[in-house]
Amino acid sequence: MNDIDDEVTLAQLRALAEEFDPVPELVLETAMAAFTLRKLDAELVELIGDSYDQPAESVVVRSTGTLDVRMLSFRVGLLSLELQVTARGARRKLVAQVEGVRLVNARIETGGSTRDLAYDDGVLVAEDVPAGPIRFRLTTDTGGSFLTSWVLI
Amino acid sequence: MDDSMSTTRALLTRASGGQQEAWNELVRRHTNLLWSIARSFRLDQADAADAVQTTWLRLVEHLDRVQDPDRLVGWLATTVRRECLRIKRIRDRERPQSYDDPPFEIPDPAEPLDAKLLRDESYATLWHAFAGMPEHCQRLLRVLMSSPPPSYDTVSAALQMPVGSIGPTRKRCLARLRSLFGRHDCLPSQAPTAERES
Repeated sequence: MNDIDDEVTLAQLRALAEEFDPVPELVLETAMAAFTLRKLDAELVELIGDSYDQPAESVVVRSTGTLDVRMLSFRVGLLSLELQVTARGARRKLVAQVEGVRLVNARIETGGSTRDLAYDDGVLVAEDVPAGPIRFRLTTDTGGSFLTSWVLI
Repeated sequence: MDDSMSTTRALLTRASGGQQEAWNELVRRHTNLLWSIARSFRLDQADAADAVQTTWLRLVEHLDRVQDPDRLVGWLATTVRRECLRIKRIRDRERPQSYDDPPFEIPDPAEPLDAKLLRDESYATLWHAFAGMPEHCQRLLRVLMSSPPPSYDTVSAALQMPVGSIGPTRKRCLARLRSLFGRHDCLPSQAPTAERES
């Protein structure tokens, strides 16, 4: 078979995908709406590590039945945030340890909502968070404002 | 630099300056690729939607840093691939007994071969042929099925596959598909349309 056949077959496959597996309209709409979540007043705390990026064999899996723990690390400058995510079905429990700054406010943002988090000695706890993209917004005692990278939990 | 690249640069600059319409255009241009990549990883519709959305959220926060239009598509492809792999990890943990991927489903597993598909027998035949191929073929072809056709550099970023092996693998997989599909002219022959994105 020559290259023309390949191109024809691919064009047929592409037509198949466009007809039967198109991008849902809602996906386009939420992607466009993502722009409104842009915040220029806060410094980005980058995701620098995710235990789920490691091969399964090399991480110590603390898993009992449906309970499973995932560790994520965020950092910018001296600020670090270590996040532990525990899955219970479609809900998540989040425990974060913030170091390098003193917090005066901590919030968690999901795609559609924001809530204040209790914190004690740099430890934040959020119970019963629905699965989906989240980020933390942190305000420090020196007036600094920080946002973590979005992560899908 | 060709026109599409200069346009992408202008869109990135305008979006970075706060113009929603420029952002919307970036979304319209590239979401089909991100969706195709997510589906190539056999994510169902809800998970594919999450992977695509997280990728766009990441671009929003990195808009001031991803200004090189040559690298935008590769960056998007790499970002969505990582999210897909993370989601698969989450799902694998939720189903500890089952390490096998579910069968590749187009359309969504929740929407079995519907009337639309059955109405057009040729498409159904093509679909069954596609579904009968080895996983690596389905994955590569599903990414190549995105519209406009992706460059090999983009496919390489999406699947972490050496650029040099894409062409030969593509050829073998398409030949195999045709052998499963039977006569490849069952469907109205379509000229290859869109230019491959550069």
